[in-house]
Amino acid sequence: MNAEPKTAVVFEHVSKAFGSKQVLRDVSFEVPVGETLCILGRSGTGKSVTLKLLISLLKPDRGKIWIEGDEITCLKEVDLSRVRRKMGFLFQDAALFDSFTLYDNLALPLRRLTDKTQDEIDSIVDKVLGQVGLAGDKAKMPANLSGGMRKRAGLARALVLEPKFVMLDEPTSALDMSVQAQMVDLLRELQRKHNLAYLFISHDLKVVRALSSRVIVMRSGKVVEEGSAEDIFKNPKTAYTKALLAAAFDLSVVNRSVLAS
Amino acid sequence: MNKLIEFIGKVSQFGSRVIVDLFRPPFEAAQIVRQIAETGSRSLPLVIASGFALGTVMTLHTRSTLVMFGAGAMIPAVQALAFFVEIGPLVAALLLAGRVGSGIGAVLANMRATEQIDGIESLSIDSFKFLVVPRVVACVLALPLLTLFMDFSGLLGGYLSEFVASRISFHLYITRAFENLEWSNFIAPTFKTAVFGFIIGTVSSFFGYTTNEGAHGVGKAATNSVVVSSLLIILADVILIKCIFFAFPESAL
Repeated sequence: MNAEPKTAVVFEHVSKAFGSKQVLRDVSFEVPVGETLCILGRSGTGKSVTLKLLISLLKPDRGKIWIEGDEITCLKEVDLSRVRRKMGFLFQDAALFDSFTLYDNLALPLRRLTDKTQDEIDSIVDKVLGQVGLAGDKAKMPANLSGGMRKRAGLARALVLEPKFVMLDEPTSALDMSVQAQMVDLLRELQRKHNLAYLFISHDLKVVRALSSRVIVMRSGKVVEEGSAEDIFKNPKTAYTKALLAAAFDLSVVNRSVLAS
Repeated sequence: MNKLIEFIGKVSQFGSRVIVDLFRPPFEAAQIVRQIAETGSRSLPLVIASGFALGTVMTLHTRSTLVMFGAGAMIPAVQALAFFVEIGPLVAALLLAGRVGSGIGAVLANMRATEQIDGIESLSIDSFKFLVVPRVVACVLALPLLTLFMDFSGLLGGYLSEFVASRISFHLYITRAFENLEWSNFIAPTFKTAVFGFIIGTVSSFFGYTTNEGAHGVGKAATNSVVVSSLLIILADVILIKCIFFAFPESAL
């Protein structure tokens, strides 16, 4: 008998409002370790708010959130800090610190949150930058990186503390097709290597199909459909999901070797 | 009126948090040094050039009147007193509000707009301690030093202006400049600039850190930082002068 996979994230009956605007309504989902959940929906459906709730940049009005067994909605700042170290976050525009080099962007959390020596920090930064293909760029400032490099640098920073759960906010937005495909390959490879759980949001259905094991579809702050990526793409149940999928494009037909050349 | 009271409350709360967080570990020494370099050394050319020009112009304006009353020998003393007591501290603070205040407001607002502040928080780093406290501390420490540079460059500008007119020796000019100057004319006004520095750092950081208007908020934060800091500096100057007169009655004579 197979054991149940360990759950990285549980989001249970969460609601959130800003003033009179209800952004999330009774949203629930789980992300098992080693799997990828995608939140799909149009702009303004509460996807980014969901990610910010998970990292405790926002507090829910109702409901509970567990990260690897820790219920975070009632934690104090000190304990939150401990839980946040288990997570990585790739922001939509990477959110690298403009005034730091790429090396310093990655070394900062290691210096601040771990007891590692300078040699160990150097070695970890080199290793993570190597994993995302930026080994030779550590002295560069974020302003001197291309869009794709910035995304990869943001991913490197998200991975530098070796989290088991990574949130990705539009990981391939504003990238051209070849770089999108490279990013998808990179995310898959890192997931395979480190058994990462991903929660990501995207408007790009090609990327959703290529990366997700499960998908939830959100509309006006509510989950309107949930299922395996296969089910959602093959047998969408709601008209809203069908409309969203109408624009789908299968990334698997993209010939990477041709694009890369 | 309600908005003004609300604003004063929020800025006061923000400033109190700076003071509390300053004494709470981890101490951001590297960030403070970095910000002092940014705030202090990069403002130095502007402060020295402004002090020198002001010193020269002030001597040109006051000389004819003082000579007319037979008080030509008082020119260095007037110059020194004016610079050390008021012109140096106030002008240095207003220059810093313009150069550094706008920069702090714009940089923090841009970091907010581009999610860099959220990025710092997501790494379990207290963004307030990391970004705001070092900037305020840098302003508090750098402004008294910049004021000294402003004072002495003003004296130098005054000397050159006076030298052209009367061929006075540098030694005599300096002797006359400091003849009637008390320590209380120098110490208290110079250290009041630490308060001005706190105002600049706190107000500018407040506008930058708390904005939520995206790119539009960057320009607004920069403008508000300069305008409100400058107004508060002038207001604080009046109050602090009264306090200095109370603490050092001889300096009011």
